[in-house]
Amino acid sequence: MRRNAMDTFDTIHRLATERLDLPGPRLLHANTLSDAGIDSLAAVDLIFAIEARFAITVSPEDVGSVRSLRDLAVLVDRIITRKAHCHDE
Amino acid sequence: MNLQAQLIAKAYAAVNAAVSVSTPFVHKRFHGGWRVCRALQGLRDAPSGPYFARAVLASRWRCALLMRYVLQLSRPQLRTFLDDAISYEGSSYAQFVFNSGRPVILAAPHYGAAPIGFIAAVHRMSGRRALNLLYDPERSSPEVAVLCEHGGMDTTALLGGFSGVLAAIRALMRNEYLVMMPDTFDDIAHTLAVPFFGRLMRVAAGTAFFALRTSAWIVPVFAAPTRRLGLHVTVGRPIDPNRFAPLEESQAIFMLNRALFATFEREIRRAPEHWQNWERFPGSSTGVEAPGRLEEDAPLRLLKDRCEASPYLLEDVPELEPLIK
Repeated sequence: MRRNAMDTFDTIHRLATERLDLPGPRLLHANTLSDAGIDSLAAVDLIFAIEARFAITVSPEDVGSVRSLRDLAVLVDRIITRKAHCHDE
Repeated sequence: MNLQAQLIAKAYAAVNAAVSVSTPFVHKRFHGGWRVCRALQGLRDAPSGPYFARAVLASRWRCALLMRYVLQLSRPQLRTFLDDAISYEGSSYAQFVFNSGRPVILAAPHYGAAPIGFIAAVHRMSGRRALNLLYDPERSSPEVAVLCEHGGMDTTALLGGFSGVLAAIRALMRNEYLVMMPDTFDDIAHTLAVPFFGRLMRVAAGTAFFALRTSAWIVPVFAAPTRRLGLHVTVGRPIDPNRFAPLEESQAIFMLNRALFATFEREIRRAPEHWQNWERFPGSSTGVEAPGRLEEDAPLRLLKDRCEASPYLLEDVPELEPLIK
């Protein structure tokens, strides 16, 4: 599970670097999306890229508590797990 | 109609007299109109003078009374008010947009009666889609949601930020209406500068971003209080973002915002007293120098100065070297 979370973070980090044209180290060390240079409009672009990459849908309610890329990775993992549970049932 | 609504209506009818009587006695610091005049005194071609000061105060009082009045009305009374007390201008230009299958962004400058104007515009266009209000969390007003509910509209308030922006774009993807007021400048970190009243004003890029991403029409809406209890709602010519779609995205966002703010400026020039952000305007905009006469070699001298100040420029663009020598 821990390994999965790291993979998700790495993928999101790579997506943010590619799509938003932001320097990787800055994204790694920033505590918040804003510190990383990601405003709310860029964050929406990133969400769309994440949705396409992971085949999930992120709802506006879900992102209310997201402050950083790590929060985003945790959220994506949660949505993937939720989706898997739904499929199992 | 309840007693409070009747009293508000009477107060509304007396606004002009009240402004005229009170203006000489109210200290300029406490007079909204004079505060605006003072804020604008250093600006070229800005509206000013006692007539303008009184008009600003009257507009503010009327808007405040109008909001209170409509909140007192029941649903049927509000519908009657929207039909009888509001005059419309330009709505025929926008009708096709509301009948089209594309989403619509209703954008208005900060006029005091803008929320009533949005409802009136949707009512007039017989819009039956859901209405989403995108607000800055610090400016959110529960009264507006109540008002929309009274108007019989399926309304959702979205409070800015990451989740608000995502909800707004999702709503547009569902072909719903989005209501926003783009002339806000609280957070200048992610804004762009557009020409406005001869200056460059910092504005949020959101309206243009949403429109470009979802092909939403942008319909400017202006709601000015009238002398008689009511409103004059001007529906501006819809702006099609697809006109700018072939451009590079940041350029398209600038061009679209520029077109929107040109419309705002045209309408505000007709009746400047209704815009509520005059006091903040000088601080959120930068003056633009009028172009002077250029000597023939001035552009080359400017280029040479720039290259000397930033040596990396010549490394990046070696073609500049023969020009400045």
